[in-house]
Amino acid sequence: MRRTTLTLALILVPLLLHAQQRDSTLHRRALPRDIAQRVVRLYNASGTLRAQGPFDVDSGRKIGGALAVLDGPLTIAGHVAGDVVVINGNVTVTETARIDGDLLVVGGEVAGRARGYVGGEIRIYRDELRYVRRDDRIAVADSGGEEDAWWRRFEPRRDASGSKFQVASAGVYNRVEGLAVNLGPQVFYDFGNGSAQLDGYAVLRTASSFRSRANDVGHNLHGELKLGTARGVLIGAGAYNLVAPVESWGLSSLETGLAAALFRRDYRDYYEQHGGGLTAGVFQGLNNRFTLSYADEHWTPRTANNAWTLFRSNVAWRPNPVEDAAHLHLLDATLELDTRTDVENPWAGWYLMAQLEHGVGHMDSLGITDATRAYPNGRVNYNRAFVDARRYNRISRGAQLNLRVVAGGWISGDPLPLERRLSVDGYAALPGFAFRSPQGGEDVSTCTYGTIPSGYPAQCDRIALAQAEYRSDLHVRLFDWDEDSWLRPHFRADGAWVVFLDAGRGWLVGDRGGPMTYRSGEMPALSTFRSDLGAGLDFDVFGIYVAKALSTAGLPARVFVRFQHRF
Amino acid sequence: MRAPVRLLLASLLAFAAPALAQRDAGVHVSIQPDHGSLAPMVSASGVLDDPQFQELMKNGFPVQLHFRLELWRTGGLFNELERSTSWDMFVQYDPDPYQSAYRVLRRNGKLREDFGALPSLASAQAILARPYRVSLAPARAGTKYYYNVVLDVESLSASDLSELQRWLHGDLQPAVRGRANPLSALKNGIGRLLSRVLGGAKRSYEATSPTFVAPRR
Repeated sequence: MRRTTLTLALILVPLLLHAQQRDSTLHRRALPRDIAQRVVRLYNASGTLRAQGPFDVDSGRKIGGALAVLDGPLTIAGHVAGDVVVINGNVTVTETARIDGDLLVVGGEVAGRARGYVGGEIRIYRDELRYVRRDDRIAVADSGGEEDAWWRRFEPRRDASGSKFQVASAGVYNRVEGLAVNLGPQVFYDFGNGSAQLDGYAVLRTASSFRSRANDVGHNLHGELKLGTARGVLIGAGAYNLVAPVESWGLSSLETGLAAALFRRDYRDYYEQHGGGLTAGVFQGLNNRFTLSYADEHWTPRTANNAWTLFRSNVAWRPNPVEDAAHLHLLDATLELDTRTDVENPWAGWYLMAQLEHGVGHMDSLGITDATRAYPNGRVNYNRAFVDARRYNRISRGAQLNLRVVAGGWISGDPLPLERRLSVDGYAALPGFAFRSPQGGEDVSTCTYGTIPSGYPAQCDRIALAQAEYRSDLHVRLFDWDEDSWLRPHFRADGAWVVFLDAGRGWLVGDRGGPMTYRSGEMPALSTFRSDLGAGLDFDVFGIYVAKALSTAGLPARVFVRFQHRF
Repeated sequence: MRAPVRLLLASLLAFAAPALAQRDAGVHVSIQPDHGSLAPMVSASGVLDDPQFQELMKNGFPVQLHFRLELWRTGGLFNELERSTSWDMFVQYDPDPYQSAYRVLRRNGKLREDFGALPSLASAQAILARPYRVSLAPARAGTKYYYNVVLDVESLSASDLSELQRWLHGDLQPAVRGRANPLSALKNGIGRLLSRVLGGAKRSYEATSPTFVAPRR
């Protein structure tokens, strides 16, 4: 037993001593070596005024070059025309202080850094410099090479350019493609004052690309050159064969994809977009841009496939409407302005997206609509506009009133192709009404009358939607038991409670007399708009709401979940 | 309510509860007298308690804390955002088994601050919990104001590391951001959903100060 104890002691004592040594080493870590060398270089520089111990630069005094203080502290009330280096000491900056260069402090802190003026950079390192004296100069003490390990992980990567092979989702999970996957290379190049990027992808579709009898593989080749970083100009070009949504301004892509993949409910309609185009524009930041684009596109209707879903797999998908087949030249002007305090959780600011499109070309075949459309010799020439404007207003520390207007549709020319028609429908627009449902009287949401075309397409020439919501902070704390309880089930969440009101409708443009049809200069009476009222709890990550139709009696209240704010 | 919807809601609550219930974690803003004026002091507490952040740090991914302090003016129909400022802090775990330590860095405009090697996560959190004075003074004396602070805590991905690396070595210009990303909205959205709902590596905190009247100078 004694021998065993002795053996254990012989093993453990060195280990304990080593552990203790490690612990003490931990607190004596030196500066990163490159910083230490920079400090020493500045201190030893021939033009530097060197001082040791407490040092003051009085108000009214001017030092023409750099100042280095070893084992400070340093108080600056005067003017230093160069850099200031303080080694192993604190710095106090007063309101009259002026440093034209950098302020570099190692082994100390800076008090009053916001009071005085520092023209250059302020760098503060709390670790002390371990140095040795050589006459009036200093050198870095040997740090044993331990420090480089941490810093080596952050070696600057100068390879701002590169390439990679992408395998990534190419769009929203939907009933036409299933999951679309981009497969191909991406090359990018940063040149300091701008960037260039080239992408070339094959687009594989899980619902159709792997069937032996079909060759349904799309492509997306895109190149973009940006001149400027914070602001500048951009030009781009692309060639593509993609499945595109008819309308995408409603539910977010996340929510649309989840509803499709989980519950077999697809809230968008799709068509094939095959062609190429050019884009040029200006940008400021990430969210403000104005672009002009030209595209030459072939549009082809697509049918729904039996895409896999997690639930309700025995239920048929809603058919994808038969859209128009056309060959069009499209000229688009798009403006995006965003002054919101935060893109995801804005308290205040504007968001504006406005688009103007001129389309000219040939209609090869027409999809099914209730209203008769005529294109002489198959030629089409139309103009269309779309605006989504939002204003976020903070009315107190914990409440806000947000407003949104969405409007758009035909401006002039021939009737819009089905791919450019609109609806005011679904949980993002009028959640008090069922999606694609004639309930509620005349279907002013999709402008459908008579026999409902397969897939229930959006047919409106114009739409208008207004939304308002009041949000207020909500603090929930449920089952928050005592800290010392063995079990502490609790649910705590900070979110918002929301009350909202929506009103909107779509209509057709033409001679009066037809259903839901108004002249070009007319707008339907507000009393004909669908409206709903609702409330909910929004926890940022998700929100749960209930909405009740106001304009139509007898419709049940509808409960729904959103994975982002309503707008 | 149908079974799938019930299942979805139950899953959301089950997964979201721990994500939302970071006990006592948060960001704080207070107002303190400072040389005849009032200065906002910002601190964060417990924001690294999340085991997922700790696990990611142990695997070499720094955690970035992005603070945004806003100065709001009251009095009109709507509150007005007068000014805002933002800064970042980084917390990095040293993977060297003989030098186990945390490192905390702050970047605020021209200021770069390295708090040195810290022996434990608690000491790193103590740095975060120390009130930080921010220069964001009201412009209109005698007017009512309040501060709003937003803190986004996020584990840095490998691609984000390059920007941090540049900064650590003194490059003042951050890496170019906003490069067009070909990843689709679905991937981004699901990634966001999974990372946020399923306890992933991003948290947001927000706090407001009491309303105060800007003093005359």
